[in-house]
Amino acid sequence: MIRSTTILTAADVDRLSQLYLFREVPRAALESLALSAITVRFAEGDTVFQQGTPADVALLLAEGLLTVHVLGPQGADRLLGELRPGEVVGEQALLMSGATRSATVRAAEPCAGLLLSRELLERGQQNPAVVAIEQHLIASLVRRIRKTNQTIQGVWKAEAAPAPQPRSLGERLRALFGA
Amino acid sequence: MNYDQALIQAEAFLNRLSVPGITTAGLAEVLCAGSPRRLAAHDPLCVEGEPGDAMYFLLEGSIRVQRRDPHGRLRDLARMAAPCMVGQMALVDHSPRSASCVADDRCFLIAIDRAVWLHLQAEPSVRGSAMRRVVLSSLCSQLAEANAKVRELMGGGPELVVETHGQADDLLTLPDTALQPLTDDESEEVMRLSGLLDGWTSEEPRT
Repeated sequence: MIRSTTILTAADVDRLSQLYLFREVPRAALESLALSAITVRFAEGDTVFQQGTPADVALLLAEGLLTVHVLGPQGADRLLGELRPGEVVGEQALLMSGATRSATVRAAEPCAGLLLSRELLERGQQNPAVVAIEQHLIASLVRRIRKTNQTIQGVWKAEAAPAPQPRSLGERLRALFGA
Repeated sequence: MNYDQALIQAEAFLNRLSVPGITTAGLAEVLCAGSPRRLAAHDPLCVEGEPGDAMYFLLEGSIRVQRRDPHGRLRDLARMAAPCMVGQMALVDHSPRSASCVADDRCFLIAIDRAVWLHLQAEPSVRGSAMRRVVLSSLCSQLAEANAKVRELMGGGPELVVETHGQADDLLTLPDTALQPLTDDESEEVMRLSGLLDGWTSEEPRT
């Protein structure tokens, strides 16, 4: 759910050049990326992506703060995390066919970023900025997988602790993931 | 492996495993950059706990994946059949092998060792893109399959997100309430869920 799009400015390229993931990327490559992508801006409170909707693009956040939420069965909104400049959100759109948004993403303050599509990355195979984005995604996904796996394996490690009442595996997973 | 052979293998790989944005030619170039390896039935490929110094494209045959549970018992985690990728997590994040792999029958693999991986993943080229995208696609599938498994274990409950997001990883912590020991079946489920996250998927194709 994209609320606004604008044309690229020099300040946008400046913002990109300050991101850690682009620390070794030449400015010309960033300009090429930024010219190929759609620059978007969001006001505080705007919904960037809506849980359950089809995922066709990802967002590289260049400025601002995003929050990630999931809705429970009774519509309760649970905050999963925050995303800061340099993070990519919604990357499943780039890597899986038929993906849907697994969470809702909102702007917690005014934000700016680049929309990333499959076509954009495919056209940019030889652009160092695109290489940097894909390297960043690999590192980010591996970190998230490891962290999540550690959390899940905590179910095992807690086996020895005394319990006030029995809980099934399903109940424990609900406690972990906040259903 | 010469390029023509690699093209045939790459085509078979991509016919079975959908990887958006990757070309047969790009993947063939990746295969050509790796080292061929053959295993006889029961030969070990990697051992749990040892350093992960390579990932593999399993192009022929199948392997059995085993992991020790918290009680030290060796359990079968998955059986992975060609074509598929094996062992990418340990290579990418320098972690020890999370499971042991043994050839189920005669296998033919292409090994991508750390030096080749580091070179290809940084290369602004068609084959570099293919290398990055095949790994990215695998990582995304691991998260998606684990997410689906959690939903199944929870009785097909509401939308859940297994993965953590951004800076808030520490939001996902075990509750203080203590737990009873898991049953053997539940322990098996947790192990399999953990295995999914590590990329030890079943032989079903990710299409």
